[in-house]
Amino acid sequence: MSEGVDNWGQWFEGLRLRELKAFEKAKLPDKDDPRWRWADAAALEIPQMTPAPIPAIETLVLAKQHAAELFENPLAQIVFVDGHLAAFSALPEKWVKKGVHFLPLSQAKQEIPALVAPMLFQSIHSLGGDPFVRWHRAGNAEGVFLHVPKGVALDGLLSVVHFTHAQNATLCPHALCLLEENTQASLVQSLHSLSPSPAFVCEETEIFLGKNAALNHSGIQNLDTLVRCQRAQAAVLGEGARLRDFSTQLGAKLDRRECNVQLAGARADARLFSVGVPCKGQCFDQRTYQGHLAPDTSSDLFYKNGVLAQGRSVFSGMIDVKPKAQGTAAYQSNRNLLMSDSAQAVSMPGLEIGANDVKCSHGATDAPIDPEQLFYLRQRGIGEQQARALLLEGFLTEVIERTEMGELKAPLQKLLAQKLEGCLDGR
Amino acid sequence: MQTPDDSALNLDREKGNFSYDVDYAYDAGVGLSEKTIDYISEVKKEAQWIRKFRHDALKIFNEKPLPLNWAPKDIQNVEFDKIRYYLSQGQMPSRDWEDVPDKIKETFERLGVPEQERKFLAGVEAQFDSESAYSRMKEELAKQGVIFMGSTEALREHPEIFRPWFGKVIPVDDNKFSALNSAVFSGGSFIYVPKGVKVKQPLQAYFRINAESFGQFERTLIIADEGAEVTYMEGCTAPRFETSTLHSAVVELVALKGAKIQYITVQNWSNNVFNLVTKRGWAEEDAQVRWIDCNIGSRLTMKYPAVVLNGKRARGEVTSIALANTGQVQDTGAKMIHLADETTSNVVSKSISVGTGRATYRGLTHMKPGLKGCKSNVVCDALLINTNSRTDTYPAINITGDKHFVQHEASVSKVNAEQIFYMRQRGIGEKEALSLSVNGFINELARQFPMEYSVELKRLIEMEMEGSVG
Amino acid sequence: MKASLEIKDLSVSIGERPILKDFSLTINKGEIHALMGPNGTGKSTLAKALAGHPDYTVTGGQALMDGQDLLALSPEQRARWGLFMAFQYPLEIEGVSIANFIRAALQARLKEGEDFSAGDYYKELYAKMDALKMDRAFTARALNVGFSGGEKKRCEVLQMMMLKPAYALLDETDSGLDIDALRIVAEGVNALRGPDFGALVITHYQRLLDYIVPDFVHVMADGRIVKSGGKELALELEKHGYEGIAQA
Repeated sequence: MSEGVDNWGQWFEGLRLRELKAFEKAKLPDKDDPRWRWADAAALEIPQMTPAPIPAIETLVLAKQHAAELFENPLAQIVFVDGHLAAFSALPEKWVKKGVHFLPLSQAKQEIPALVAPMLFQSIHSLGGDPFVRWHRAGNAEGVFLHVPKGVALDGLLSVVHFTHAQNATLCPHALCLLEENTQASLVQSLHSLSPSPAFVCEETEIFLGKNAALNHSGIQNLDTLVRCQRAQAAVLGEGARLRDFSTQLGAKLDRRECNVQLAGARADARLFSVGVPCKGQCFDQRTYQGHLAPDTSSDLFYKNGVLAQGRSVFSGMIDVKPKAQGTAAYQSNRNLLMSDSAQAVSMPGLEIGANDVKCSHGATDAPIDPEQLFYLRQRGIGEQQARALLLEGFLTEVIERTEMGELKAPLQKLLAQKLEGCLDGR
Repeated sequence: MQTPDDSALNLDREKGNFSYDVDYAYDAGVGLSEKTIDYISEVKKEAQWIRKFRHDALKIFNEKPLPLNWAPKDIQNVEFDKIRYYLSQGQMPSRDWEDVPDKIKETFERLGVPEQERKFLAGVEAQFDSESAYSRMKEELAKQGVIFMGSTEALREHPEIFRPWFGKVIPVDDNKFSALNSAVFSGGSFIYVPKGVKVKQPLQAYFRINAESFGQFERTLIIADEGAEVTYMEGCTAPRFETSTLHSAVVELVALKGAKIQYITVQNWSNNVFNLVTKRGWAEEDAQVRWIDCNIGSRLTMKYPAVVLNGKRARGEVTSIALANTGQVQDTGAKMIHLADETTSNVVSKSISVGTGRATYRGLTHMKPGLKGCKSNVVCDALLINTNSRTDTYPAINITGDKHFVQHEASVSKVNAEQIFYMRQRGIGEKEALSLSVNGFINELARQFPMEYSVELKRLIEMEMEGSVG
Repeated sequence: MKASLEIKDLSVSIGERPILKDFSLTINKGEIHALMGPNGTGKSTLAKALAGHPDYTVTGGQALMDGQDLLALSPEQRARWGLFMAFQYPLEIEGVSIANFIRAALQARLKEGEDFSAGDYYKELYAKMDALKMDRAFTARALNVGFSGGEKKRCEVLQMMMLKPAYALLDETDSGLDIDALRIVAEGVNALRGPDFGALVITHYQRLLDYIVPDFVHVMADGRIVKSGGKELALELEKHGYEGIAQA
């Protein structure tokens, strides 16, 4: 498809217009659609596209500073403010020479269009947010392009940071990750805010893993509580490929995250983790799909929410085992800790099993803080509020530890502590 | 273990697979309209309010779409305009088997109903198509004030008892099929157990469809007054016709303060029956409602027994077994609505999918805001026999507050090939080993059925398993 | 001000059910008391009520710690004042490491703005773990999660040694311990022994008292003390059983 294109700019514009047309024809989200069951009514509204102007230079500098504090020595980092590039510390020469690409998407479209074009906007999401995905693709989608050629194993953290800033800006962060055969990489995508202003973040993440490719992927959402967020992520795993996906939801007023994993090659393996701490009118809506299309594939989902006063979490997950996928092992667990009388948790774990030689189970629990544990901590002299915070942190730390993404532990615990400080007082 | 991909099961439902030519004295004809409803109402000589209730329900039925956004696709194949909505030989049930018309009597004799009555039942209601042909309860219960009669009779003779709850637990507009039933209901059992009366032996209803292209719409309402206890069982059969048959019941249970109601169903409709049933219990303070539900027959069953826990410390339970063979969809589940403090719900569901059969669990656990001390526990296990058998689980849990414990667990497994091999090594045939293994899977639940049903259940499962191995 | 934990006519109920009935006992600093008796006589109830467990309702009487009313305080205030309870069944706390937990407990005892050196903290922690023959790697493990019975009890004693209470209530700390573990745990308690420390050792068996030699032994039945004596009383119990003592 990419052979013999003489004007790539026009080609990408054509792609965008096709998506725009598809958006105009798309059926809008509908509350009677089971994929939107128990979603906040506000989550169904598609806002007007209002891209923000290029920020002032001071803003860009500030963003760069904030981003630098997030992780210790990332291998490379790209920073955006309102979808405009603020900083780009490129990959060390060593990796560039091996043919690894880690670039802002717009730059990749210009410099290596033939590599980007075949896969861009090819992901199928189908967890309800498709009209938003069309809207995103038709708009100012900007973000990162990651390509790891055959046999290359990156040994450090790749980081992409998006900040919201301008009042009522609409942002369309995009990530396209192509890992070829026998490769390895770690990518973290973070969403933060530079100012307490409302904004709409509509993100799409596309992940394609070749044979025996391994990707550690994490998404940290720490937006301002005035921001609304709608995200769709799709990953296709080839034979023996491994995905570790870890989502953290802390900020935003409303954050819907759809995570679609297709285990398309035999022995592919996906581990999906998430922690969420909604409070004070926040709603975190998580929709997941573990699609087993090939034999001997495995997936394990472990999602925990600590729901504080006036917080709401919605989890809906599906394990879908196709008749061909004999030998599947698929698990799904959603555990919610309800910390207040006004905390709400909705859980819809699901199984659709079409093969018999499988090991599949799911579980969901909702429980308050165990009063015996609370008493134990208080007996040691720890005050009630702090004891509750410790128990909540412990509850969430279990997930962080299981991700085996050690480099994220410290930064996440810091963000988590900040969040709890702001939320737990006066529950 | 070798299992064929598409086991053409030669199911033996022969026990119920027969029919008689019956001259029906009353026939509302084919299709559903206002006229059908007037016909039914006139035949039954109903009060004006019931006729209005039916007409209002028909409007709602016509307005409500099929739940195509989530229901099994086969539901679109119900041909409402090709169904006969009312067929009977007369409205008054006999109190003595000798007075029951011959063919109907023969039917129930072949199904063993009079024998069961003699052996272990406190009362029996036997419905043949639209109306009850036989209804009798032990005299001592009548002396204690227990009422056990058909819907038409009960609404005529005891409106003061039944009308206040009629259509209250399951509102007409609850779903398309509750509206349909409300428009054309006929037959079923209305039971009232007075304060403190504990009915020791079960009351039983037997539902028989005899006519082709027929729709059976019985309506059951059981009220257990304060401290009362009652167990009700229902069984059903139909001959296997080429055309489809519709069974769409509404069952409402009301357990007042401290009352206990246990409702047992063994559903063994033939493979042409659409079984679309709404069942819901209402439990006041300290009351218990328990559904024991077993689904083996039908083409498509959609049934999610529910309990509304409206009083403090009320308890709701669903124990369910489903077996889906090739050509069958068992879409069952449970709904637990917690509306009061310290209420408890418990659901145990086991399903077996054979051949290309599909067993689905749909559940709802809801705790409204502001409550404390509620508990809910749901366990669903699915067993898949053949490589192309299928199972689904769709629970939904909606909890507000930090004073509840809620747990849902589901697992899917296949028949343990090692276990089968072990038994075969001991000389047990493969078929038998498989049926032993499957019976082992549901054994704990099957034991909760009354003895007679439990034996029947095992026998039915054995028959279903035949031919599922090559 | 008296340096003692003074329990006067204490009555405690769980729900509607009275467990402790006018229980009285004074533990002076420097003393170790053993409280013995069969199951269900209220030994653990006493410990939990003193520590302020919310399920235990005090229906009468007093508990004074160094002359101050203990019962008016929250569980954490009692703890910060110097009351430590070693739990019979220590709770498993997912995701909270031992090191962080003890540190949080120590920090809670400091005034606003005060802090202590992490280096000194770890030095002390490791020294005490060594004394209790606990693997140092345990500091990073989640509190009690997946610990054996003996490990849990050692961890209780470690916390006690780090928090240095004025009064300790050891609730069946010997249950589920083999003889080696028992000796190590006892050494931990003995290390705290001195004029500024008082303890109540609750136990079924005389065995523990071979290692933690008590100054006084009390026998409990039906919610109150029925007999008190010196350490020889424990031996007598071993010989004649509770029946004999209660009747005597």
